[in-house]
Amino acid sequence: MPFEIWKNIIMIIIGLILVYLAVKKEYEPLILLPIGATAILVNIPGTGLAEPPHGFLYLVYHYLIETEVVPLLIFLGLGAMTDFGPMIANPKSLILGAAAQVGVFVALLLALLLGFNAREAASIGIIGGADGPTTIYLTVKLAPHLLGATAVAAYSYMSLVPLIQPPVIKALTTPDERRIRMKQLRPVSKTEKILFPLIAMILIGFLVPSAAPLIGMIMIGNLFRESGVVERLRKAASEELMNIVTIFLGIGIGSTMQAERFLRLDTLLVLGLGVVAFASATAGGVLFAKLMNLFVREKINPMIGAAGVSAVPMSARVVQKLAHEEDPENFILMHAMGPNVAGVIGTAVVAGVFLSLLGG
Amino acid sequence: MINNETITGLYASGLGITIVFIVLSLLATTVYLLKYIPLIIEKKKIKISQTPLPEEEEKTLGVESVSGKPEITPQFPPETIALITAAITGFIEYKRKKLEKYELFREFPSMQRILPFAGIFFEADIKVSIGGVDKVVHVKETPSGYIVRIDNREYNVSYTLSK
Repeated sequence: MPFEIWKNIIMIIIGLILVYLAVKKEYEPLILLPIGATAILVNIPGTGLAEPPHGFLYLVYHYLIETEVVPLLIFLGLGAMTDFGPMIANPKSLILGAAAQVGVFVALLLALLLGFNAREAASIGIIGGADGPTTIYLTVKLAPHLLGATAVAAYSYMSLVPLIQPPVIKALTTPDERRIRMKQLRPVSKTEKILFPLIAMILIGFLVPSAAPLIGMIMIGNLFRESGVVERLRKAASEELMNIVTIFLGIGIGSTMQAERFLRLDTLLVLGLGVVAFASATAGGVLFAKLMNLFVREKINPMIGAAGVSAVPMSARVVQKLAHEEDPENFILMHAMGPNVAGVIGTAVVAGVFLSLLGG
Repeated sequence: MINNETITGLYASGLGITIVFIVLSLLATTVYLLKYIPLIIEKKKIKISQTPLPEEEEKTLGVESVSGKPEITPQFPPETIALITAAITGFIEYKRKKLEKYELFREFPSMQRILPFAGIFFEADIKVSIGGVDKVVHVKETPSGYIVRIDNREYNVSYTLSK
């Protein structure tokens, strides 16, 4: 049996592992199941599915992923599903969302030290934003050959947030800090919720134009949701369209997991750096929250800084669970949702900065 | 060893983290100021409601009460308030029954607050009987309260939990 066939068999096994994780462990099944199944399919020799110009998987990748259509439509759906209310009620959470982006830069610098070029390092670093569509959006533009590895890392680690974050949070906080209770958030009016996406879109669009596609899509989706007058569009964006583009995203990413592109030392390094990115993003958020506590009158529970890594709503749930362990009557879920959704905006801004500095 | 790629990476990191903090700080400031807009609108509403109205018009004027803002006496008929209260009580019971099959919500009832953030909102038609008269009231939850529909009129009901 030629050596190349062995590579294909290894990739089919990797595909099966992803399918197993999705089905049995329910790790991000909506995305890992199509990725894993397509990874199996694309590594069956002789099918020509991923070969230009007419292979079906090639067409999906070329027209939907490479053109950035799918990641941007996913952002539209995310906007239609996201409630920015907790963040509007507590604007400080936006700063925590920025602080958690430290992980992106730590991973970027480590990737540079390991010999990746700046464009590859930025694509690896953005995994720390814990935002799958943004990772895909940036990687397609800066380092398309790493797409399979970065996407698999981003989505796998997002589902591993309950394992990655708690040790980091516990190492950086004392039980007393984890017991800090926070004041009930104020109710947010409909007017504020409608104005927020418009203001965010205009402000960020002017300041970081290269982040405008991502921010624009999430804010348009959010406007569908908050306006209350286009219920059909909100439903279509957050359900039907979201489901359709998720299928294409999974198939498109899976199609890039061909043996000759995926079975490389680089892939292992990307997966390793992804963990570092997640852990340092968590640490950045927690430490910045502790720093903020030195200056604010009403102390914040530093654990909510960890939710700044996006991974909505998984990381906010992790924070709530840890708070519950220390004090069963402490409810900080709503407070953690603020940095959580702010992290999505922060990661999109970082991606925009990388695109404008490193070339799209 | 420092080469061009490393310098570019360091430059992108330094500038990137500076820009993300500046942009999100500006956004935070804007969001902070945003909360005053509804207060301004509310003040205008109060001024309008204080202007004497002809008797018939006054009956139809309804202003919802929002916590943290100047208190306004609701102008709803008592039957409507009774219907809203009974319907929300019934809705809470309906939601509890729907969720009780899940162990998580049985053990930690307050975790049901996470559901709206996952895009899961409950709504139900609640049949309310007051004084022998039946009425079907539609109740839909929102992240901050409920939307109650009686006949063709909708009422926004919000609440604040105090410790």
